[in-house]
Amino acid sequence: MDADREALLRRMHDVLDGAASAEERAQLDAALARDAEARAHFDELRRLFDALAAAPQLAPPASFVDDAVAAIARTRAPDARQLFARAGVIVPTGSDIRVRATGPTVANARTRSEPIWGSEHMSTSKRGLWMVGGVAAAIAVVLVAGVVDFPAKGDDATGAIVPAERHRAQQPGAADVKLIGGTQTATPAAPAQPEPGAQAARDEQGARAMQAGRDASQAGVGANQAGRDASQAAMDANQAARMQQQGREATQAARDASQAARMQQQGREANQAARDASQAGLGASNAARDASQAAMDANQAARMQQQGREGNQAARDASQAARMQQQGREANQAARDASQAGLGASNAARDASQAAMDANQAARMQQQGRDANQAARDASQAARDANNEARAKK
Amino acid sequence: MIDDPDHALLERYLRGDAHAFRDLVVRYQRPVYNAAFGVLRHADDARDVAQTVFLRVAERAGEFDGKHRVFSWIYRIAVNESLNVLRRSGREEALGEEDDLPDEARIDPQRHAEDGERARRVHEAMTRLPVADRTVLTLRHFAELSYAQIAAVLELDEKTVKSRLYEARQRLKALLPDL
Repeated sequence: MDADREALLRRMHDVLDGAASAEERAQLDAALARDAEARAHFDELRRLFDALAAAPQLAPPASFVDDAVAAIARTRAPDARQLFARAGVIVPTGSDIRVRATGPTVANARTRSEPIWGSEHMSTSKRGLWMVGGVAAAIAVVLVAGVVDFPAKGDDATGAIVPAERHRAQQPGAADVKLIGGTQTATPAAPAQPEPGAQAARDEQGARAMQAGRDASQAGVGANQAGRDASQAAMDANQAARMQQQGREATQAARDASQAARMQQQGREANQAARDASQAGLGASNAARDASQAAMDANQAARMQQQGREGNQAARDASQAARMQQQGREANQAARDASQAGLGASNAARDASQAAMDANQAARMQQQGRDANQAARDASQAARDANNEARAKK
Repeated sequence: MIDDPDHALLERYLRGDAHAFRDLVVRYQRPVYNAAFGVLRHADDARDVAQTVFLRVAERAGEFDGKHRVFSWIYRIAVNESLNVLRRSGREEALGEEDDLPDEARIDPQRHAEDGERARRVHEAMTRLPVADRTVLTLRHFAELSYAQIAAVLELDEKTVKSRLYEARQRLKALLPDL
């Protein structure tokens, strides 16, 4: 491509970019008027510019502003650079979930979580250091768990379950009981006192002793009963303890079930939140589409405005051309007038020349007249001289 | 200091007015996103870069040189961040495949039918251009910056900008022979 051609092409770009001066535009117009190939190239280039101008402006996600401002607020927070400063449950935000309505793949349902440790500005090396440390700690825990059996598992436990030992109250012994008239009394018999009238007293005493024996026997029975009761109470207590343990286990199971239910509920809520977020994402997508459409409309309006401006410019150029044409016409007229005036002047000059020639002729004739007069006068003088000479001769 | 209303927003933000920064984000979110998309041709990456741009602006607001325009500064950050992403992902050269338009642009057939067909072809052709071409074309035709503004963003002289634009368009036109 020769230099002139390339300069012409660059001029086309400048003009279409709106960066050319009026003079440069006029030069390009002149070049296009006489060069069909350049004109075709210019048309192609104009179509390229139009296509670039028609490209829609894309809209960022609807939540973009909120996300950006929130991210900046986090970086400005005082705890933003502390490790684990914002630990928490990973929760997808509505803006993070994007669903493709159509497309070759299901989507990039992209879930970006809130960071759970450090700030976004933690250096890569520092973050890597903590990650390596974490992995090392996890490996250590696994190794220790392999060596130490904790907690003990059920099949590792050995032994037998025995009933609780029964409580035994102190029992009265055989020596403590002696039967009257028999072989035993509850207490050792007092030594016999061979006193008169003491038989009644001895009977009385024997009766008391028997009563005491009966009481003691009764007490022994009561003690036995108490022991049985105590044993029963112990068994009951044991049973109660077992039941308490079972209750505790049941409570724990209930707590676990409750926890599971809560987690299930949280899962349901999370699912619902995800669905809501998805719905919100869809709404945002629609809003973005609307905004994009509005932007396209605005772009179209801008293009039409630009076309209007170009039309105005063309009209101005045409007006300018018309003015110049008028000026040309006026100049032509002036030239014609001048020519006409020149023609008149030429005629006048011709007339003047003719007059001068006539005057010259007249002057010449006047001179001839004068010469004739002189000759006449000379002839008259000669005649007179001849007359005088004749008279003298006479 | 040149007369630039965005300076006032930055100063208000530096004094602790969060609303001022929000205004700045609202004003520049679309051009920054489009500039990033123009270079990266990938919607998610463009969104991430746009967010990073505003983080950088917030971080460096105190260092901003008032002799420049704020928008030039923001665009420069956007272009540099986009180029960094390409560099890190090893996508510095032409992508050579269909760009990842946002969903909302992809699913509107009417738009494509009406006046988008040529635009779509232009988008696809741009993915096959070198990054430098895409960058300068994006700033001129999508961000609608003047030669001088592009020169300020890319820290080049205007003559170089004109030359790069000319060459980029020539290459783009060659990829679209029957436009």
